[in-house]
Amino acid sequence: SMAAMGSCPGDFHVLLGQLQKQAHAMQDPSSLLDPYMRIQGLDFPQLREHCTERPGAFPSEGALRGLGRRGFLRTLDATLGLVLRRLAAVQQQLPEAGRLGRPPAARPRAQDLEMLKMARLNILGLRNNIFCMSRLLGSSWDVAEPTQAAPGTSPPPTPDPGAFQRKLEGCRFLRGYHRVLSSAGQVFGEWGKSPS
Amino acid sequence: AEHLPLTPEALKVSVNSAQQCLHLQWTVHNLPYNQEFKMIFQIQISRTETSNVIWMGNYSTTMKRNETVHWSWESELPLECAAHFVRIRSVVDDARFPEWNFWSSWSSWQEVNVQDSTGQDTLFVFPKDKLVEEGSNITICYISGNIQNDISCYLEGEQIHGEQLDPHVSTFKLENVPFIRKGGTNIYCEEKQRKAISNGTVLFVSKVLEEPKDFSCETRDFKTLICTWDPGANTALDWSKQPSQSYTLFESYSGKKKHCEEKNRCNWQITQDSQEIYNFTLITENYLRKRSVNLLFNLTHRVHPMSPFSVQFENISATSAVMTWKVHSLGDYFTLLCQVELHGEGKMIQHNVSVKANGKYLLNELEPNTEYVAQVHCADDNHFWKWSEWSGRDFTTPEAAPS
Repeated sequence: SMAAMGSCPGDFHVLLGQLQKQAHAMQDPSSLLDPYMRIQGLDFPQLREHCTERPGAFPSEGALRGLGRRGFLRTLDATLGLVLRRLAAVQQQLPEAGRLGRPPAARPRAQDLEMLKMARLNILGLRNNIFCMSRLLGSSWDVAEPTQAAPGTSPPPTPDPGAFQRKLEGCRFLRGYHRVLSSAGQVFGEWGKSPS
Repeated sequence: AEHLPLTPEALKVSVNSAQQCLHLQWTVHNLPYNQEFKMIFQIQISRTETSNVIWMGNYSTTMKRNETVHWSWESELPLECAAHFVRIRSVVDDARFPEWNFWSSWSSWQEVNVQDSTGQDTLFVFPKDKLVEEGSNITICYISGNIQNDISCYLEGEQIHGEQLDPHVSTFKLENVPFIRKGGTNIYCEEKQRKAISNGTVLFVSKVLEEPKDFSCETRDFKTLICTWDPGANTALDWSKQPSQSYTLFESYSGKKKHCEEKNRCNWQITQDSQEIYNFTLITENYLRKRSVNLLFNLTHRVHPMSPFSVQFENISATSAVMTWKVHSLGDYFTLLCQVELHGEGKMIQHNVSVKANGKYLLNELEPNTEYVAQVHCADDNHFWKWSEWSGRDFTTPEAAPS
């Protein structure tokens, strides 16, 4: 469940300003999708065109707007939890033992791996502020992670689609992630105009 | 003589797709009992249809009646890309039985069809996520099933051109594939009309495992041997396709073996009953290759003493001082050669001293009221291997007494 990691600003507008800034920064594909594509070798025109958000993977902007503030925070938090788990899976496939006994891996790759790590920290920071805002709004919730299958039931094993399809799938997932952050930024922007 | 029907029988063909191998097994029922025969088996392999023989070869072996013979064949083309057909015939190649030296009839064709994509609206690309070594030649194929659209394939953004194997299968020969990234080389195919990526595969190209360089071992205390080496490229790949290469030390006199946790150094315990001569083999291995280097040495010739300590100066006068230092004991019979360096007045003077236990040296002809730096390092006096690190301090001579 959701737990604050850092301190919480007590002022609504200060906190809202931080949330807007974070959402704005994190909706930029150069913060996560672009380094992911470079690491996976997807940085080619045909593949870029193909790397589109999979419909239904993430809530639309309209859906987010229609949830009301508490519901919106809860959904955004759950979505970010999903992204963290996906990032952890990607990280696991990247054995970065560096160049054994020599300087770490080639510069571009090391920088891109660093950006993946930064993206994770940014998500944690955003989740922390989401928690603070939910407390400010006086709601307490025990966030059920949306994709948590009911205990004891695991989805039927699907045949391994292969690394290429999984790379593309990761790409489409992150495209959706950036779009959701852009939508969240819009919604937070509208909060600013109407205090309650 | 009567012509014995020695046609190979019970031919079974199994497939290892990942290794692109056909495994064959068969027997010959009609050989006389209780005797071994030298036999030659001729194997034909066809692709797409039986008339299209792509490989033929002989396999010689000795066998008894009803014994099962095993043989494998590696295909340059992924086995999913086309149906393959196998048949065999035999001849007794035994001087004792010249009358049987004639080819049997062929066995019936055995068909092997790994990927039945007829009637499917999906495009398949093979091999799927294959691990290969940099410099290899690889054949890729796509199977288009029901897809009628014009299909183009790309390797890292560059279009590649293939050959039609049949109306639904195209093959692409990639030569001398380079290592591009740990995440693998992407090959994908696009349906032109729909401008959609139908499918693709990743070729995981591993750097070639290098032989360890500068393999060397030394001891600093006669308790532990420290072996180091330059591992060269790390052949780890993403997606758990290949971990970093492993390193194992094997010492042949003791027969002991140790898996090294680190990739460029390894400690080996020297036990009381250890021998003096060591014959090490450093073995490195990844999924594709194994390499090793050897090192034969005498332990007493590989002593790299630890740096001296407790450097002190006694009886400092205007023109002399006694420098003392301590050394880590390496045994009663061990003599150290220590080198003292004196820096002062823009000059450096060097002196050598043989030392059994702790060291002592008289620095004379010094200048009064002058700052000096004196340092010492030591090495094995009998079999020089390496100097220890320096230890030293500064001191200042007092004014000369008024004469």
